[in-house]
Amino acid sequence: MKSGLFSKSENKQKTVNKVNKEDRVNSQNKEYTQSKEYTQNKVNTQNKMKTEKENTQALTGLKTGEKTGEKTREKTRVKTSEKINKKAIKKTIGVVRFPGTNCDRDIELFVQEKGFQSQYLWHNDLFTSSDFEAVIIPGGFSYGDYLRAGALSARSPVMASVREFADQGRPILGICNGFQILTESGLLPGALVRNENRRFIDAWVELRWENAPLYWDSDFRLRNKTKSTNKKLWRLPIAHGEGRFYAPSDVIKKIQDKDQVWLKYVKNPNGSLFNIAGVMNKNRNVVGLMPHPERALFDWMQ
Amino acid sequence: MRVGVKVMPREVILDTQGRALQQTLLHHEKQVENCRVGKYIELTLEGNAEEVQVRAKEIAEFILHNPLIETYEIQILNQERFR
Repeated sequence: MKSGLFSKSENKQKTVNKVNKEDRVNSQNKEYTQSKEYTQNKVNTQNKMKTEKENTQALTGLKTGEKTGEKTREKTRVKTSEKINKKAIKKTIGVVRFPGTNCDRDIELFVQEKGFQSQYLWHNDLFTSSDFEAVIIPGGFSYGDYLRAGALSARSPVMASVREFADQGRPILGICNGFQILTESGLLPGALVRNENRRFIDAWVELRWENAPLYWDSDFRLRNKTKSTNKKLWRLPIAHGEGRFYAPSDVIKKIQDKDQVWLKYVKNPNGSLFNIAGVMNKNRNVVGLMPHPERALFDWMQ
Repeated sequence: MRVGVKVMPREVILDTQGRALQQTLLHHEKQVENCRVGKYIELTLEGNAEEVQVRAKEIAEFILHNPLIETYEIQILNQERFR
């Protein structure tokens, strides 16, 4: 049922967006406190299903109210806004796009599947960090990998906002080319160089968790301060030509001493140092990984 | 003024292009001890030699090279404009 519902759920979310905008003007503070409640309660999928049902009810109520008259309209509006404020506010995750990014749509579905709504950010956008719960930089070949992979996109205007977002200690996730962009921009340590076997590798790999990042748990649900390290093996696809993690020995030592290694390959596919597949920054809010979790979202993809 | 910026991969980094080229040369019985492939970037900048040197250095450090994996050299070419 998951796969069949993409188009429908998308439409729903568009309508929810509109209503949310109206509400935002009225009560920004309310939204904030209630959205806090939302994280506490609404992470598991069952609750998510319920809220979606109630959304549709609320929205249909609004439509009928408009038809019947002004009085009923006002009444229904108040009711619906209450309902929506309590249950339906979906947090937004920003998806940064550059010319040449090609995993953006996958990430959008990924984000929706995890119970958020997504908003695309173009490479010359500047955004206010309070609008987003998290920012994801998807994979692809931004600027055709000119000069070095991610070199040009790391200096584009949107990255100024991303850097600000990172300084506030909020979650940023870079996948594949996104990881390269984050290392190029200096938000993550190290660099990604060409694979040792000189080829583009497209394969499934097994990964082991070393340390847990601050926000993302093993199912990529956004949680505050995840403490438990998840020792289970992950099976994810990789597709990269420049995925070999490299850093000078002193930097590598610092990364390992400060527990900044997030993921390691069980069997090293590309010759990356110490089998590193994903790293975090000092504060553990900015994370990057080379494999593609969005390509292993459903069981039928594996 | 024309300025050339030569960017080379560091010795510790595996230079895949260089290695592939070296192998191809070997197939054609042209033996080389070591072969490394870098990048060469030409910039045309306004100003005298000293100013240009400073600005080229700034540009090279900003984007043209990644200090973890590459080194760079700046060469001032001549007074003419690059056509």
